[in-house]
Amino acid sequence: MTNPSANHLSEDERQCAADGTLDAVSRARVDAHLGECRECAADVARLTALMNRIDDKRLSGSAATLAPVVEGLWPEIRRQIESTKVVALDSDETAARRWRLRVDPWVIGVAASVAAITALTVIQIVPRVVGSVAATGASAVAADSTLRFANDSVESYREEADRLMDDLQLQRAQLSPAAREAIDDDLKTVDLAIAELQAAVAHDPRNPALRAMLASSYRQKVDVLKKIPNAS
Amino acid sequence: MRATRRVTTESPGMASRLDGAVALDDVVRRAQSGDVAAFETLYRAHAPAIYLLCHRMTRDEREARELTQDAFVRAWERLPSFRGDSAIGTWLHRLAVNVVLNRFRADRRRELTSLTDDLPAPRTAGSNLGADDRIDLDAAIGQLPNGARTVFVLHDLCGYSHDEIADMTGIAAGTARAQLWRARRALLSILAP
Repeated sequence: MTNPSANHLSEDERQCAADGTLDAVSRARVDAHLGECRECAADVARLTALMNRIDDKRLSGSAATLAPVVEGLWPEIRRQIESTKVVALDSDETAARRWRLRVDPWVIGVAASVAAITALTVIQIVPRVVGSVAATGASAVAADSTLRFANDSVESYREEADRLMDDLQLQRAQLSPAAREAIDDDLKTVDLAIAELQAAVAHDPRNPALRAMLASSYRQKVDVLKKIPNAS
Repeated sequence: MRATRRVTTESPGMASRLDGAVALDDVVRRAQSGDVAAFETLYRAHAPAIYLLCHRMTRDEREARELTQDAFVRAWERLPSFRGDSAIGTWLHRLAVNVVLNRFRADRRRELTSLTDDLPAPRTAGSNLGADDRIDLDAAIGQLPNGARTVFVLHDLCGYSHDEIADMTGIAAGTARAQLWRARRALLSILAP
């Protein structure tokens, strides 16, 4: 690759010499040339200095300075993630009746979906999961792990829902009768779905898919409860 | 003639909050099962590196924020398909690169293949800037034309090979190499005339 007309290194050779990507054979030849050619040596030295500076830049990850930036991005990411699962509710609505009109179809839809999915799961997924788990020891370990995570999610959302229910008891007096009625109806629907899934889990306690759906239902209850301050 | 120049795709300390591969595997598995809290842990460990990548490729804070958000939303959507063939950080990084490149493809002004974009004017000896007040490397990178900057960031800062860059961007490996040489020469002229 050496330029025969000028006996200087080619651009490829200079760049690769600077960034250390020459193979052993080429390196020996290039090093020999650099020992004799001041012009090429100076150019490679400049490029090498640049590469060192680039290496410093690459390794100087400023996690601390970027932390506030990325911290501010998470709420929107979470919102988008959640919106893939849950229809977002309008947060600035004040009329209980309007709040109810928007929430009801969603809650009813969730309940219907959960019921349908539960039925399908019991019929189709359960035998596969049980069969898979029984098939190999490794599968059993993986299933145990998945089951544990799903259970953790159930407990996490259930605890949050319980805490929000406690808060609701304190807030009830401040809600209008219409709002209370609407909220009670919505919670009743979600609780019905939760009860159905709890029954399904009791029937098949080692089915991680059922537990994941139960966790999802608790999360939806949490979402409903978090919207209540906006309905008063 | 060339050997591969492999560098890490993340800066030290960015992912070190997660102690050990076992803990990380645990978090990834929980996130894959739909645990948002686990995914948030992954986000906090890797978001600085992803944001830095997006910012270096776009040179625009607002766009870098948007792309970082897009990358993690897509990561959430695609996490179930993550098989652990690579480190989660590598997987996220590659996904983010694709998100940025897709944005570029949607914007025809950001052509990656052009080798004729105007390079920034080199600083002259009369610019009265000494060694102590040399322009910051990040600022210099920001002055590169889009194609050269993209290849430079992917190769020299992220550690992707020319073949990988060709695969990701759709440009020829030779073009990627030429863009890289061009970018480095331009940086030399900006930083130390």
